[in-house]
Amino acid sequence: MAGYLGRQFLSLVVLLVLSSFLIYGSLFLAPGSPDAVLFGNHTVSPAVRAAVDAQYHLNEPFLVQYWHWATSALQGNFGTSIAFRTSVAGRISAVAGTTIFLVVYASVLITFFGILLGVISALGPRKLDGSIMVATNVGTAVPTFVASVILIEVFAVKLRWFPVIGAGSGFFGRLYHLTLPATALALWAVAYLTRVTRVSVRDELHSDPVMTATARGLHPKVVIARHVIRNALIPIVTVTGLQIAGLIAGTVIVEQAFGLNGLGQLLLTSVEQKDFATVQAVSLILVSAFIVTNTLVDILYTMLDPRIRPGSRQA
Amino acid sequence: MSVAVRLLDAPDTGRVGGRLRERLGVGGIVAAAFVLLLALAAAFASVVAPYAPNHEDFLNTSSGPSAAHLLGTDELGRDILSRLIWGAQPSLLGPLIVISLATVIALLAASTAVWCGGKVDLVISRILDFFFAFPGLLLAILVVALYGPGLLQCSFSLGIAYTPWIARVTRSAMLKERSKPYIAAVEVQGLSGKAIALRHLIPNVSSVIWSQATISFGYALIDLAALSFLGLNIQPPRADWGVLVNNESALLQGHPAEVIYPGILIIACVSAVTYVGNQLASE
Repeated sequence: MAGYLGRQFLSLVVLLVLSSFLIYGSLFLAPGSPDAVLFGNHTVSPAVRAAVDAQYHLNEPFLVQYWHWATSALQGNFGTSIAFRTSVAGRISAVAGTTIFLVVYASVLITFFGILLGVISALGPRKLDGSIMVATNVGTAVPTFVASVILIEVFAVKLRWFPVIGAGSGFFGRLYHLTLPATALALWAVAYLTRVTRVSVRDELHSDPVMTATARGLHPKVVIARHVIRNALIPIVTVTGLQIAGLIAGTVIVEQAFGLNGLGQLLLTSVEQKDFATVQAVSLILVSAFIVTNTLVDILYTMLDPRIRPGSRQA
Repeated sequence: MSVAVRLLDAPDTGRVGGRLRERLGVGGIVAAAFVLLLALAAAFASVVAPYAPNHEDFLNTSSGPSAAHLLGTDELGRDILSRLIWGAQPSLLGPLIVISLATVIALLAASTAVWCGGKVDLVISRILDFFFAFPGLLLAILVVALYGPGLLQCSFSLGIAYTPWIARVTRSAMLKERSKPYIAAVEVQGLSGKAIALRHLIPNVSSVIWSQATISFGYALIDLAALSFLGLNIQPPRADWGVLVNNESALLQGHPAEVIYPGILIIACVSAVTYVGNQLASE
């Protein structure tokens, strides 16, 4: 197990280094000099230019520059935003809370409703199963931004149950303000997870251990709790984890639709303002979060399923 | 595109028509016909659309459905139906670029990996793994940050991001095919690796490739529309379906229809494409 974890950790580090390399290196793929990209269309004084050159080590070889950038990023220093003349890290920490709240909220919704609806669909009455399947069919075809717009129209404009924009303050304020965004973000994944849960619970119902347990005369509730649900959990946990990792890119869309001041919105305004230092920093954070979540899912999956021998890597 | 032509030229063309109809089923044919209809409407927008996309009817702003404007007009008096039809052009062209690019690269990568095996396979698989780890939407945003917004920038980045999805499925289908005795037979006869890949491996896994490309078309349509919604793809006053959905002021002023129509069109188109893709995959 230690060897397995070690290898997972190593591949995690490799992926992180490669993607940070891509994000940093893209600066040099852009048309024009790195200087031109970093400054965008802002005119800067020679002093600022010299400071930025020093910060990015622009007079040194590429690998040295990357090394400086990556090591200071690890220490939480992402340089200075040229457009706003403030530290990038400061701008990020000011808005990260909203995004984290949103992702956690949506994850809770996905896990709760996805598994609940899936189990009801698999074990409940046929009619209910039919309507849940129709709903999930529609749900998996609705893009996040269309879901956002429909939710705004129905629950914010027509019914006026929720605010149209803004992230709210305090825990309950946020909970209230972020309900629609989190629902929009979770909708697709809930529909998908419901289907996966339904299939894996159904499969387990006909598995040998479950039939044996039923034949032994165990109470159906015991059979379902001990054998069906527990075995069905393996694919469910994997899919849940992957869906949650997928949310990280989805936050950009939802934050734009609901006018939330989060990391995604910061990324978009930085793209618009050609504030490349911030673009790099936010991209690095979002991609790293995605990669780390994926690796955690991999590890969890292996721990849940004893049949998968850590060490035998299937291609 | 040359690969697609090549696939249509596969030796068993005679049977493909019949098998295709069988595979698709009635639902699949209806779905495919719907998408084809949209594509035709897009291609002949200048004939089909009642108005130019940016023609403004100042006397009829934000009006409901009427004989002159079947789906009504937006806040500038532009005909909503016409904008939907013209918007179909970039909405459908973008995903076509994405899957063409992704399929060509994926085929090259997968057939090289399968044919050479060993270290080459390992390196190609690792590179694909890396691009798996990079969300397509974020890659596109990074590219737009460098090269500015636009359909080509977005489609190319998504093309790269979609490659591993198609390549992975193609690779495992090809691996299965490669181990079959007839491949060993033609190999013994001295046929080159390139010729075997082009004449045998690719044609024989073509149904997997087609179905994967079709399903990816649906996802690409959603991602590109989302990028337009974010203001990174098509730039107003030009519009694709994503731009048309990005109109919060219409909602707040009580004209949800002009936002809901393109939304429904995206959902219907993606559902149809995905259904066809799944039918193609079914044996």
